[in-house]
Amino acid sequence: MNFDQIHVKAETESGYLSDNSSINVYISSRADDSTVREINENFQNNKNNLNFNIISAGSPGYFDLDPIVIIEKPGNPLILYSKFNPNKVSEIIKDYLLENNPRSDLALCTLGQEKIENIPCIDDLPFFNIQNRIILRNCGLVAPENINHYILRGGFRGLSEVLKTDQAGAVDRLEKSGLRGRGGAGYFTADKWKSLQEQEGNEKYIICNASDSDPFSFTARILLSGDPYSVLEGMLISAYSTGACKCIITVDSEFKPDTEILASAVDRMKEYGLFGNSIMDSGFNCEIEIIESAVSLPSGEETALLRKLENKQPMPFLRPPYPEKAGLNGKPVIVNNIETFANITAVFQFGPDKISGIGTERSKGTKIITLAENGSAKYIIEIPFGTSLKTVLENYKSIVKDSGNIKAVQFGGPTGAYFLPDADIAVDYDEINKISVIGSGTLEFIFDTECAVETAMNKMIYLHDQSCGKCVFCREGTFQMAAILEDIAKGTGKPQDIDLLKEIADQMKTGCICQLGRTAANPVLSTLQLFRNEYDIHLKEKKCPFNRQ
Amino acid sequence: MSTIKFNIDGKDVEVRNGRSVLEAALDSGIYIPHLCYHEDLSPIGACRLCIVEIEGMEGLVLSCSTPAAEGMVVKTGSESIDASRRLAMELLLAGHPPDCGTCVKYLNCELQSLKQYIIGDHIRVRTRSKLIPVNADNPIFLHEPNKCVLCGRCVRACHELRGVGVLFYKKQGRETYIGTENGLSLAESGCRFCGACAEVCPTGAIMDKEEFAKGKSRKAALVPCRYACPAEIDVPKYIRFIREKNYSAAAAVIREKVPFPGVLGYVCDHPCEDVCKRGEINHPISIRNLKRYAVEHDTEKIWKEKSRKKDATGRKAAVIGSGPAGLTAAYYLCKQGHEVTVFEALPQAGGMMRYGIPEYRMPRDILDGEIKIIEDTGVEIKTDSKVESIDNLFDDGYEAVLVAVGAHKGQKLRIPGARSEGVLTGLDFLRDVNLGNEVNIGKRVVVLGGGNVAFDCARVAKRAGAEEVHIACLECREDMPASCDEIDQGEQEGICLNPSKSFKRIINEEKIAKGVEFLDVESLTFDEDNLPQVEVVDDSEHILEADTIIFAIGQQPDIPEEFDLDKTDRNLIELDSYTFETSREGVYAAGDAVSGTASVIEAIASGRKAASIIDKFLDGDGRIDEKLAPEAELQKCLGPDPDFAAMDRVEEVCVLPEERLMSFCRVVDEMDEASADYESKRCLQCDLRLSITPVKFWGNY
Ligand code: SF4
Ligand code: SF4
Ligand code: SF4
Ligand code: FES
Repeated sequence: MNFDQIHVKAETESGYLSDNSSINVYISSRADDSTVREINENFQNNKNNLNFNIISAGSPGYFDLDPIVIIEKPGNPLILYSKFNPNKVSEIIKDYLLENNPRSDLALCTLGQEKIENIPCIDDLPFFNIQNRIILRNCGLVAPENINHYILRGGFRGLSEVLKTDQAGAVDRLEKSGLRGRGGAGYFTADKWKSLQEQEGNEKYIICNASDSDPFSFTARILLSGDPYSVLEGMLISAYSTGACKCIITVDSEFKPDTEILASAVDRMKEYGLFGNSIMDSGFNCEIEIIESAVSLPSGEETALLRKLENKQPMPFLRPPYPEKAGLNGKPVIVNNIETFANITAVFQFGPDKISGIGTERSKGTKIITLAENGSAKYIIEIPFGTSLKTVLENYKSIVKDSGNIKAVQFGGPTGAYFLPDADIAVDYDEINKISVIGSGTLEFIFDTECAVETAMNKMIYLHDQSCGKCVFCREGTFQMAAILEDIAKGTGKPQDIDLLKEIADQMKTGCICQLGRTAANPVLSTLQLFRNEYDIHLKEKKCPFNRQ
Repeated sequence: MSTIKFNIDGKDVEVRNGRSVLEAALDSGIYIPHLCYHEDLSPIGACRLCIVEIEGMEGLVLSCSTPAAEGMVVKTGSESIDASRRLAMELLLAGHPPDCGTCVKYLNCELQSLKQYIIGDHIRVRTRSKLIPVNADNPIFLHEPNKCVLCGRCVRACHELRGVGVLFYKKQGRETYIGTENGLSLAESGCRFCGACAEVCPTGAIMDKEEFAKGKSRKAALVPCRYACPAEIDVPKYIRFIREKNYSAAAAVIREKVPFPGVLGYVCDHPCEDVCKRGEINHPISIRNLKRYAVEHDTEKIWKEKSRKKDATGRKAAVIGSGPAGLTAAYYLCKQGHEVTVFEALPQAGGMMRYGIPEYRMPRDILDGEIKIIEDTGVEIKTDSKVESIDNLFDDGYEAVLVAVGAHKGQKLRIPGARSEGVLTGLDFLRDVNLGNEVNIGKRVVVLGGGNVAFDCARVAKRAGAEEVHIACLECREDMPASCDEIDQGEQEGICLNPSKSFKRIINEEKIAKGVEFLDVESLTFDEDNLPQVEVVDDSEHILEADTIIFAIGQQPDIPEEFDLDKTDRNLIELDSYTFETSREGVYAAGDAVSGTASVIEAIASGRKAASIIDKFLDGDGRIDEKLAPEAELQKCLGPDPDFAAMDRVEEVCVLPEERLMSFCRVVDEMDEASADYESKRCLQCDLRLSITPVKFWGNY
């Protein structure tokens, strides 16, 4: 099937999505299952004679507002109802779907530009409006496994375009976007493409790390359960552009539902001739394989991931050899994370300007950020590079009133540095990498009732636990720091401990094989810098000023 | 080979291309501390001890994983190198037990040596005990995870070098250790027991259990079968050839050390099997049967191609006795170019191999064939030629004489009636049968003694027509000195065992033996001089009637007084164990005449040593070792095999007792090829470990 035929098929099967005379009810599936099921059933059972489509969509990422229902009614903008109650289903059907009362009392906002009385547009809502949702555009608005939905929202157009160009043209296009890998260090994606392209033969692979190795981060899960095709399309585009013959996508074996969605998505692609032989009748052949595996913090490292795919113990290895030369069983590969592939799709669907037009000088496009409090994710948002942490936090505070006084925020996952809430630091690879990491892009708060030493200690205990144990500075360094911090927290620390902490931290930065170890000291160094007085009080008064120990 | 030049610590060095900076430094005799690096393994950069500074490169660089390049300028020491290395070392030691003195690895430990080199004793970081239990449950290896510093060498050895992959980094609580998947035993996880892990471990964390190493040389500890063999036959090498179905090469390996491979395949008492490491896992390799299989399937006889005989030296040597020791010595002396004559008192050559060992245990054509080869080499064997005096030999122009007369004189106990008619010694009896003489033993035979010779006598008696054959011995059933095979096969053939019996007297009527009177043994112990102390049960006298009574309680050499040789109090030839010389110059001795009754392989080994010494005496170089077999391509990668440990020994197949009693035909059937293949695959290839590059300590640079 060529793209046109594919499009026709999608229209025939799921035309309601693009036809502006249908009523569509999108129910976000992320919330507590039973409630969502109840909402779903109530919509089904109260249909009466009214004709509307119920779509089990992925989550838009606003977990704090779950359950979320989005209603699309001809003539009106989409309305997002938050914290939706199953009991309200019959009311909304009666009032909004039958009559024309959008029930502003239940609504959060409208999506898109048009306005409805008494319901704010999302662009006018603080916090939500700092976003630019390119990668998450479909999350909440398509049934994730439904290929027709994806196609009707513009999917596979990018692939069909790229199949008409040559590889050099494709790399050019990607280069123009300025896209940098969303995984760790932020390599320019086009550079990786070029390296892979240069390798002889077609036994090259495109590998997508589609698991969140940072447990607080939700990037992979939100995309897999919300818009999996956008990732798969990005992989195919990469494969074509680099001459690779196979795409491998690795998922966390603990998240079965996400994997099932992905698996059925791949099946559907086969039906549409979107993988296997002669994709879109173009002569381009490519396989897709899904591999499930257990996830830990270091397993997200690209070299560790490759070992895992070789059925070896997932441990980071020294580079060189670089994966683009010899990665998987000696064959060249590109490893990118899931967000990068979704970005690639966007570049080819909307053009490179869509990405390059946003962000900073050297960090283009957007970044998906997870905001977590007390160990659970509350919001997953997508902000343009260059947005400062301060902006994010101020906006967040303005909508989440019940949270305590934020003392500091850790940005970048478990190995990220802590920042003060008013830190005027932009989310930008070059700027953040100077002090810390962008990592998983998670923002986690600590409140002013929490002890900085204890916080750092807990991070070190966690990181020591996560360390794969291979290199001495990571394994023993995290252990030492945890042990020293424990002493300080208990009031048994010694004055020279601070120097020892710094010495170990300093050596770890260059002495570890992988990013985890190299960045693991960030929480200690940053709390030392921000809250040195707390450390000193512990040492001098031999007890915790917060009376935590 | 291309080389590169670079500068290290101000010294210009040239090394072969393709080496890392660390390797290049070590190659040129400059030490850089290192721990996780091992010559045979890929570098992983885990220990950070090998850091150096390289001009033009930022920061501290891992020398183990940075390729040495032309023109590089390397510095192995500086303040920042030392500081970083010191901290790495401290961290490595943080969880390691501090008391080196109590560790078996003491003074052999790379970690200890590095500690001394880098930091001495002062540790600033928090130390701890990891508290992971010692694992002694596996055969052969002892795992002491608390001593592990996680250099990962064992893991790489197991995965990369051996392709087995059963060792992993594991976590227990907050500690990392090296272990198997799901805590399975090594056997369950598919370990090949190659020992690569223990070999590369720089600490005492994975070691051979002490019982294998204690008091042994490294080689004997690592490849016990080969070094338990008196002739040091390269067992793992020929087993490897058998696995490759290259039987001729296998036979050649055996031939390198012994001229009687065929005979040994039947009758060797296989001390190698007693120490075989496979026995720790389940049962030892059936080494003797594999040997027999290889030799009997050696169709190409490639050993002959490389077998050399030196040019004639014109020197003459005489060998008295044509047993395994004498013929072996004669064979090698002849190959050294000397003119050798063997004098044999009996009508045929072979000594005990012919006159002691019954034919059902070793077919005579095998022996004849191997003696023929010796004769074909140029050894002259004079049978029916008893040597009366050594002086005569010297007079006849022999410059060296080897006395290898064996121990052919059977002994009787001095108990009443021992001189009665119908009371024989085992050796006389066996010799008569083997000579083909008519033996008249009657219907009931009692053999006194519990060793292999006793069983030989009993089983021969059965074949010679006795209807009821008993064996009686002092020892209890479990302690009988005969080999298990003998006992089992004897019992199958209907021999009655009467263990724990003390022999009181031989009953006779008119000097003709009628039976034996026994007492039951209450306990049997040995005093410091190894003399038996017997306690009998009071009033337990009882009689076993018999027509023939055979003493099989040991034998002695019968050295004529005319030889004029000093003897020990056990009637053995007095010998300088180092020079093999007797009390007379130019006269040497070997075999049972020196050692007392021993095995064929010991006699052969002793013949070899004697040959080498006599060769030197005759102005040769004494080098009798030969290279007959091709070099074996070592397959260092073993691959995983979850069923490996469970592979059970191929048991010998015996001909049915009813059938084998009909004749003197061999009792043990030949192995089939599938069994030989299977059995050879069970071998742990203990010698593979010797091919791992040894590590040099800093003191050696
Ligand atoms: S296979 Fe060899 S290296 Fe691996 S655990 Fe067993 S003995 Fe050690
Ligand atoms: S057991 Fe020995 S070789 Fe293996 S990681 Fe530990 S110290 Fe290294
Ligand atoms: S396993 Fe093989 S090499 Fe090891 S002792 Fe036994 S026969 Fe010899
Ligand atoms: S020897 Fe180079 S890091 Fe261990």
